[in-house]
Amino acid sequence: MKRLVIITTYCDTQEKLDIFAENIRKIKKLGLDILAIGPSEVEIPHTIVQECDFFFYTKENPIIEFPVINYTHWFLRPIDERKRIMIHRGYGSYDWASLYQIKKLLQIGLTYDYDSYCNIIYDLIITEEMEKKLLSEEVNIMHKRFSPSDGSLVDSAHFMFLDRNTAALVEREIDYEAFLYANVRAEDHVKMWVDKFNLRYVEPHIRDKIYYWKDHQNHFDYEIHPDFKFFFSKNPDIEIWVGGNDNPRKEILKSNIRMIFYDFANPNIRQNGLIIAVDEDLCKIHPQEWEIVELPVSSQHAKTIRIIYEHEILDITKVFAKTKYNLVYEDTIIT
Amino acid sequence: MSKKKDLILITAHCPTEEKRKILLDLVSGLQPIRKDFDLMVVSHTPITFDVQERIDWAIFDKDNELLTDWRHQNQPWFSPTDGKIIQSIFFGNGNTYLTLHKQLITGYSMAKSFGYETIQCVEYDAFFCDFTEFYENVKSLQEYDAILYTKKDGWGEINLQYGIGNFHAAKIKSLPEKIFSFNREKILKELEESDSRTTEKRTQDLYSMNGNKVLFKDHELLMKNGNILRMIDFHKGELEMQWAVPYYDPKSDTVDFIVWNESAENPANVSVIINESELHTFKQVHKFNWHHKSLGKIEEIRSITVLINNKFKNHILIDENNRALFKETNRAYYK
Repeated sequence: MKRLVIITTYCDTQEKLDIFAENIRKIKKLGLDILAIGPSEVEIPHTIVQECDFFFYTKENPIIEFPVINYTHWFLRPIDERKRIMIHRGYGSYDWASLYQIKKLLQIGLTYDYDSYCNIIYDLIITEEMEKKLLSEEVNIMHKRFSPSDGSLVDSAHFMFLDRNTAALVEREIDYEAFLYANVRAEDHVKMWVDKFNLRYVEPHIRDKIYYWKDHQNHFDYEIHPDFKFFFSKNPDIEIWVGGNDNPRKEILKSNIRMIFYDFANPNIRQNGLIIAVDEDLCKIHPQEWEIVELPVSSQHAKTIRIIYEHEILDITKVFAKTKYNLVYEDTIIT
Repeated sequence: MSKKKDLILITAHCPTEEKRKILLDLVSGLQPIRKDFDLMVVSHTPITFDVQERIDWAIFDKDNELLTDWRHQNQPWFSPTDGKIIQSIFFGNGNTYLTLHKQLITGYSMAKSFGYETIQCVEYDAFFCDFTEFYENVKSLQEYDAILYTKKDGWGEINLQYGIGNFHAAKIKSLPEKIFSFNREKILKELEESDSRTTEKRTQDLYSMNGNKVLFKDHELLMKNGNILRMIDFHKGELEMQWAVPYYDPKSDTVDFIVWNESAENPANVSVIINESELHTFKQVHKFNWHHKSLGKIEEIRSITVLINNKFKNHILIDENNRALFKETNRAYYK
């Protein structure tokens, strides 16, 4: 049986490149061919590319963002008995991007004369038992993955073995509309085709090495300066629920830019103040910790945003442009 | 990323700095038409980041299998005198039939999977300042299924009775199914059974299948306004010329040797060593001149070593197992 190992990657750090290179070495040692994929904005050293039999770079990295999908981490800061500050950090979904990489790899892999395909992710922890699996003739099997956040077992395509016919069926099944329909989570989409094509889950359960969120624990600070923590809003005019559980009511949250500064390491920030420059408009503010600074500018129109602090220009234009949906608002509980 | 309807496929093999520069210049030169065409490079060597940034898809395929089995070689011919035609498989470095078609198959298959309507295939050693043909071809492909360029025979040039391989175009939905999948064994069998083992013939056959309408255009149309095709003569490799070949002459039952300087500007010196003991030399063969000698009876020849300007070209071993094949694949014909 001629097997092609297809590998999805996003190796934008040396640590990730090293893990990927190590997995390539393990697989090549087993005498298997490798087809890997990566977004073209991430440069992979030629020494690594040459270890693969095929490497496919694509300009596409379809992260789905607000308003289609938005994952929210939220934080509630009580100010007093009646007031609290609510912060939402929105993230796009990488789930479709990873499924899309598998689709592209299967499309390319099926062009060549292989009998079976094994999909892995670049940072999969490959044990000796898994090496034996790679050399086996087993097909149409899947392996559940330990969720890095809570250790639970989840559906996964990270160590998936398909024969040629089933690979072609799965390739067609990976579909954007179907993904949106299936609860917009990669695990749910995988489960859909596992059920449809009677694929079997077998042991061992698997783990990935990199836990992306491990280094992104503070969702509510953009780390622009060590003297303070900082967060901003970006939203269209939108309906929100306020008032707590006892007296909920709808309000319209305007699209204005709102900022929050907190955890001051420099006690003089309020006294000295800082300047906020949005496009051509400047304003001087004297922020207090956890006080919402609302600017008379819509977050939907602002192009460049800079904060001038202690003669230093802190440019947040890029991160602001990348952000699709963040909320900052004050919630008052009426009893 | 929104995809366009029309794709330009660039096939490449750039192991040297000079060749990588040629590819970079080609894709840089094509940037003005990226608004209308997507670019894909399929290469046997890793694709540099500067090229990657200027294209939409980059595919590295390590497999660059040069066919060296005598049964798989192309047999170009040379006619030194009226009525005598010499054919030999020892003209080049080996046959790139398989590897070139694998690149094209990858391109056709990706174009189909990714939803392109037309594909225009270009070899990497070209440069375009005039893009007329790219646009004309898209228009013509509304009426025709494929486009091939033919070149008039020229003295001292590699003449071809099929459409050239450096530039051709097709409508994806008209292409036969076999063009979209690579099966090494099937293609090798097809090659063995073919009269003409040239890459270009296979392309022309596939483009013409199922009664497809092929538009044949003059190669000169591509060469307008400073456009360049085929900067690198692959067949020459590191040698200044290639036509230094042994062949069987059925009239005399001998192995003879012809040196035809088809390309070296400086006079060439060719040494031929028979049975590792007997030296024949061809001194100072000027461009477009030819010299000819008999090497002896075929039964007495066990090995032929060929050097051009003291650089190694071939070491050919002949025994009872391959003598008949040698006679069949390297011989003179008399009209």
